[in-house]
Amino acid sequence: MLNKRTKIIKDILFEPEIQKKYKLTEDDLSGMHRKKIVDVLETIINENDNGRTARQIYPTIKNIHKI
Amino acid sequence: MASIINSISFKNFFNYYGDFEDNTYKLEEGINIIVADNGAGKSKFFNAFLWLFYDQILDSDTKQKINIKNAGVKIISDKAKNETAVNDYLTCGVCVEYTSGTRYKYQIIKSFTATRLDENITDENSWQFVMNELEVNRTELVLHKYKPVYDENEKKKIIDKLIMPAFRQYSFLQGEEVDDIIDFSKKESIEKAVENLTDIKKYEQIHKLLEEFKEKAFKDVQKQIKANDSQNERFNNAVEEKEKIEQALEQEQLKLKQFNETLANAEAEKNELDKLYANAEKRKEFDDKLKPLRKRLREKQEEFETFLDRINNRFFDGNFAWIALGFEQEVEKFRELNDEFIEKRYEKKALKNVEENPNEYFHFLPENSPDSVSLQNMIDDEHCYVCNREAKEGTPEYKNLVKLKNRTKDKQSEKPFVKNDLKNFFGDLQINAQPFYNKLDGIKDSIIKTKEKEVELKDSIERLKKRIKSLEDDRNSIMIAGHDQDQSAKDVISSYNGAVRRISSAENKINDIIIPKINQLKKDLKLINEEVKSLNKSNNIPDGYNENYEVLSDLEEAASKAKDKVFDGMINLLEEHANIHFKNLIKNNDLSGGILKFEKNPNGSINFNYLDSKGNSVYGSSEGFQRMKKFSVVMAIISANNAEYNYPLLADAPISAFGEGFTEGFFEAIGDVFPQSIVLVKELYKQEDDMKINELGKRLLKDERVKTMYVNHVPENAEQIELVTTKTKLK
Repeated sequence: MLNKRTKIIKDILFEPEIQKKYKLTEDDLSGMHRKKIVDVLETIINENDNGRTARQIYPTIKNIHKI
Repeated sequence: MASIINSISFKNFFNYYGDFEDNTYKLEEGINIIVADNGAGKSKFFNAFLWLFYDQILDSDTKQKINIKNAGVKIISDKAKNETAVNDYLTCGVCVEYTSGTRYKYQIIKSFTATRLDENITDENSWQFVMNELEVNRTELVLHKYKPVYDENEKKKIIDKLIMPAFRQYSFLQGEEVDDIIDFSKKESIEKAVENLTDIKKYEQIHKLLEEFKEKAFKDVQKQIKANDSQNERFNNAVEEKEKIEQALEQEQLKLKQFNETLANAEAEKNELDKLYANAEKRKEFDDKLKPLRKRLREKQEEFETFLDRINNRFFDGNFAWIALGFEQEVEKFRELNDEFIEKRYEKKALKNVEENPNEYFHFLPENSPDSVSLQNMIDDEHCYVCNREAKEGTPEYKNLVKLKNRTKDKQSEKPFVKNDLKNFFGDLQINAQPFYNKLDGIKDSIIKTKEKEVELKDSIERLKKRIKSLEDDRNSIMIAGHDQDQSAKDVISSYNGAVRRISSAENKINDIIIPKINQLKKDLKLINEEVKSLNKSNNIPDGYNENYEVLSDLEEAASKAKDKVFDGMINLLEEHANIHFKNLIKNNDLSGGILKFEKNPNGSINFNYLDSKGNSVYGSSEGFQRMKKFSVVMAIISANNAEYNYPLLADAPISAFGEGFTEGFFEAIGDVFPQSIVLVKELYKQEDDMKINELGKRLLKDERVKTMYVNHVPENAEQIELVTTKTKLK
């Protein structure tokens, strides 16, 4: 059975509009050089699972964009 | 992974008198049925689970759930109380054993000790209660010896694992409570189910975070731009416009919220009234049936009265002549006696006549009375033979003879020749009795026919009474305490229609005005956002800020859609499953096939309708039907879940009074849905049967899905303190 976390990520990233815009494929979900959008969503989900608050998570996202 | 209850035992719990070993029900995976008539421990059995999960019991008098601590004296077996001496104590408890998965088996015991302080056993003050510590034991399936669990959290986990708290409401069905499990008037009701079945909460959390981050990202962009180019007028205008639209959107959303509340209230009222409406209609239906029946009963009773009155007449009425019954011989006797009488009478009459006119009968004078013939002879012969001397014509002797012969008749009237002449009396008797003795042959038939008529009338009165009683019972059974009496059927129907009107007007306002406006505003907002984004790009700020905002905006939108998709997906799945179960449940009833339809309201609540074959909503159908509808959803919630949480169904007569069709459908349907069901049911009980179950019960007994079947017994007419439930295991 699909891992719950993976399912959520797929459900969101494979929404037709976003998938088309970012040209996302299954391969984009893993590997070292993932697209930023995948990274951002994964970070949010992981950090949320770790019980971190929005205030704590946001800087991590900014880090991804190097800002 | 399913939890399977292996056994449940009682100790001095209500009618279950005695130790755990005396009151153990072994149960298996599949369907387990406990058949019990009223008062034979059905609800008490169910109460054990209430105690186990909620520390409550359902007070059968008040239909209220009360905490076990306050239930005290009520739940202890009266026989056990009676047998406990003052200053002595007894224990009352329940014990459940269950297996979870393939490794562990658990035992949960809840009990309390009651010490008797005084004589009056039913007085709360005569007892002192001490709750015993919750006892939870565990063993590996390969072993047989239980080991106690001491950790309180662990104990709680073990109880929760039997049936997870979130799912208990769908697993735990008691009669009318099925109606309350899925309360379609409440948005949360179905949402709760979806929540329990999916990870929608997670999606919501992620979406909420993304919304927040998107705002933050935008503010970051704004800050950067301001720092870089405070004179960028186009950008500032766009941001201003964006804020305006956001405000307008906020306002519209507030409006939407208000109308949604109106809609929700109207729906709640409608749904609350649904039951009453159905009842009001149903009641009217019953009344319509009852009215002609009551009239017929009156007519029949009158007919019976008249019939009884007429029975007297039948004795003396020549057409029936019942009085003559047994007088068959008397007619012949009478005839004989009457003939004799007539003969004798004539004889007497003849004698009398002779006596009066002897000369007309005799030629010889009797002694001392010469007859006219003799006298004529004597005149002709001119000689008296009486004194033997001459009597020449003209002589006094001759004249005397002539005088004698012509002597005048006695003037006195005819004297009766019998003392009492009964000729006319007997004659009348014969004439009057004629219709009676003519009927002699038919009397027995007439009486038999009358008796038959009496039985027939009594039977049809009895039948009518029974029919009326059963309709009245059914009519009463649809009255929910505290509801129906207050409102007349007319009020209910008018409030119901009012609620339906309000729903429709709120829906129009929401769907035709507010939602389009919100959609337009959202579109505008998107455009302005695009503009802001493009302006950003032309601005001289680090790419990361723009990118951050764009990614988070896109993710937020996608997460919102994904969340809706998950919800809609589950609703569709529930609808599909509910329809399958519903069809199974009603397949033994004469309901034309329609479908159950979940419809999402603009406010997010789910409308649950039954559509007929033409696609029209069916409102206010019978309560049994409504309950089946809800029960199908309850089952859908179980079958639509991904088998992660499987648990037993514990049902106390959820289908009472809705007929055998529903009962049969129920048993067929649950077998396919629940890994284990424990159903307490009255409908299968049959007092007169050797096995104490009816035909359906016997069919179920043969059904391989039914793994165990018990019949509970209580002694008839027993005193309360002797009331003990015993059981027979049929399977």
